[in-house]
Amino acid sequence: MNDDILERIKSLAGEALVEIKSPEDKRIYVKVKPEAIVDVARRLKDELGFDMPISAGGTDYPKKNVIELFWAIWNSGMNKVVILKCEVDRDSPSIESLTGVWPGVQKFEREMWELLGVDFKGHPRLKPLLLPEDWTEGYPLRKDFDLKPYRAKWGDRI
Amino acid sequence: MTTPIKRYSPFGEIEEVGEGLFKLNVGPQHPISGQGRFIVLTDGERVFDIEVDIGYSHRGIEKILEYKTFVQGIVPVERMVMLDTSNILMGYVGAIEKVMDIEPPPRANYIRTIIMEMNRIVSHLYALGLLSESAAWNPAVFLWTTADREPFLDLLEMLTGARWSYSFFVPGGVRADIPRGFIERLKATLDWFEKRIEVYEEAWIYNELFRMRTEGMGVVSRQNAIEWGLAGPNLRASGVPYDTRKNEPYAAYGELDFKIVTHTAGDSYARGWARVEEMKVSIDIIRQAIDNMPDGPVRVRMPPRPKPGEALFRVETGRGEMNVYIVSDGKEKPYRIKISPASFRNFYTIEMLPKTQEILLADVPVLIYSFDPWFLDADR
Amino acid sequence: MIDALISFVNENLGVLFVIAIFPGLAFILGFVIFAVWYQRKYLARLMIRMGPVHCGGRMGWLQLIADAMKLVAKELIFPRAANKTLFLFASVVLPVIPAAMIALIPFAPGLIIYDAAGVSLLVFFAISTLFPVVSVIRGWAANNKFTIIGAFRNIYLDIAGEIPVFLASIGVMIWAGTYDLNEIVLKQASMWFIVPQFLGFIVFFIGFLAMIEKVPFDIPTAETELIYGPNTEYSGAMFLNMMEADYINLLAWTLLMITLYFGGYNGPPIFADPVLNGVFWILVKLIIAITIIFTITISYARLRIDQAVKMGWNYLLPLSILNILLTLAMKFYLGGV
Repeated sequence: MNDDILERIKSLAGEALVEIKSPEDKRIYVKVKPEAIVDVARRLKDELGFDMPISAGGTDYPKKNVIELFWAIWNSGMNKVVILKCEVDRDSPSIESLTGVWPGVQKFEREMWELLGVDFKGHPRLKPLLLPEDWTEGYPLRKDFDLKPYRAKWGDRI
Repeated sequence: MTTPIKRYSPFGEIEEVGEGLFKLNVGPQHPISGQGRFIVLTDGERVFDIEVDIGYSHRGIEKILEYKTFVQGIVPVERMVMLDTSNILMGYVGAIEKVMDIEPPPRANYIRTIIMEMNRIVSHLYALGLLSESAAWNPAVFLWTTADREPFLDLLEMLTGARWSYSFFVPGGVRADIPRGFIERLKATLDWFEKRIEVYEEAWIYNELFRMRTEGMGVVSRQNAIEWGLAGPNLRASGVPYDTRKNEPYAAYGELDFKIVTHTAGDSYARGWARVEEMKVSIDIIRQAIDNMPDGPVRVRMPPRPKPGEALFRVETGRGEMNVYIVSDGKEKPYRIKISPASFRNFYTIEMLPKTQEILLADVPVLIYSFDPWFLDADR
Repeated sequence: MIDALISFVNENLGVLFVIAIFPGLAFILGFVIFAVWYQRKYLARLMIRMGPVHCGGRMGWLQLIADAMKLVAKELIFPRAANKTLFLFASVVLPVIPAAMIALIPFAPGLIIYDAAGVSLLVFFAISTLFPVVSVIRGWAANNKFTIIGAFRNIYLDIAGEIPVFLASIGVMIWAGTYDLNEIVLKQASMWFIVPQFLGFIVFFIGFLAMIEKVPFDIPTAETELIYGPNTEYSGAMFLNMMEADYINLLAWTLLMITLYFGGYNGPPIFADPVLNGVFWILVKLIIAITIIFTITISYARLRIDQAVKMGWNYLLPLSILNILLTLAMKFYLGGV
């Protein structure tokens, strides 16, 4: 379907590209290496016109020992969504922040920082967003954070 | 005001900052703030910085959904926001249907459309009431709009059995068919409501003092709206013709004919006006859906497990575009669901506005409520 | 001693009655109770609500007594960093100032608490200028960011509203040819002053809304931004004082408007006794006036402070000067009243 767009993304990502696929018309999944993420992101914005961030989050894969982050960006000209993914190491996850490219992901990255423990270098305001300021019980969205003790505490209402 | 006074605050945030500037806590105990906190850096009249503090109603819905099967997960997702429940549920159900690779029957699509549009009217009425109350209308318009929601809530109760949390959509269709007498009552309510919108327009939208309070305030340019990730009627009031119902049609929207309402001014008045126009469009959509409704079953059998994979599904709620990103590994419970609500992105715009233009302290409530932010929505 | 007391009371019974019962203390407090109840019921009906329905049957007319009793029974809370003396001082003095203004208004021929011969209108305005001073003291003494902002807004608003009101009444003074409120009322026996002073009335009305801080000018107590403006820290009986100050101010200025523009106590003779007639007519006009003010409260949005000041200085001030010139011209050519 989007063969020409896929070709252009392959050429601008170059070496850093890990995987690319487009299972339906309006979605393009691009996976790159974490070192080149800022470069690829900036090129996606400037050359192809993906300019509006609509979502950003992370998934924890303890079996593969990685955390997979994704940013979903919409293209106002072409009306397509690119989902830019990368995998960071689970033991010390850290990556450069994309707020320089798309300012709107600022709050999403804060949320990923506090719920998953991923450090974003260069983020202007890395403060607790959703959790209380004195939360010390771990990263809730990781798979090894178990909700069952809280279930027992609150009477199995979860 | 410039003599430093020691103040103790558990968050350590209230302090005297600089010459004549201080941080004002438009905080959780405030008539206008809702369940969140705005920390406003001001010198009494002019605002230099707004910081939004959310997280007071964080329930961890994304984590909870990993422990529940798909049908069990309908109930927590629906209670994310109390106003707009069916649109949000559509996001969840649509994402699951994509990952399971099933298509609901056409009649179910039309019923879903009718319920979602009624929910949108109800949600916009509430938002308009709050906007007018923040512009100090002495809650008259707020009470009128809240009273006008009642016919729609009664209709929804007739159809689904509940007034605001219906649990009516399931992956594969809807749970029941339309009862007898529903269509006639719906048509009568729509006719009455059309005349009611004219009353609101005359008394409120074209009112001189309301325009004085909201025109030219909080202007968001088209470029900024796209870069900051704005959503919903706010985006359309800044001139970006994006509506998920038209750009990525779901349910029965692909077969209906309606227009997107845009406005070029991008100020608070345009945002309020855009909501009123959207209500008119909703009435049009419901009428078309009633006329074109096909017959047939309303539910398709749902397979017990989805295929492994991922999907991103976008819907248009009352606040804006919400998307659900689901990762499934083939089991009955989802591996990861990420919900990105519209208000979460709208708050960033509120924070960025004082950096692009001059804002007065008296304008802050009108500004905030013209974006229609819901803290429950942002916190999940 | 007792004889001296009895003879003192016998001589001044009339004055004591007027000060304590009508139109003095009892009337003012009774009016406050009535006005708050009336506002709550009337505005509620406009907003598709019911208003107070529990105390005293369906009309809820005992609600205010219950509220007053509750407020008096509550604890007086002084913020730790507040200036206690000034805090209490402002709350006690504030209701007294508009009450002093009411003392100058004639309610009927001969029924006036204090007859400042010849200059009562000027004394009225002189006393009214104390109100913003004490109002700022109450905001400043509480030592709270919200109250200080409210006190500032009070100053700005007063600047916006006072001058148009004074200039508009200068028009009335020129037309009537006197400073005395009694004589102004007597001169309106044939035609109310609203007719020749129509432009002045418009200016006066808008400025008067600013003086009593009602919508669209209720900026100091801007509830959506400042909680309750300069009154935020008051609790218990001091809060009751603040509410009283608000409504007694409303009463004083409304009576002035009726006296200057609507003929005061003049009206068709329903009762034979002129005193009873005057009192009846002034009460009727008072109720109609506050109904209109409450209806305006619900129909318009609140202005921002800079918009209010701009309205006062850019629009009302030139209009009021134009009104004075017109009045002078009319008096010269038509011979006046």
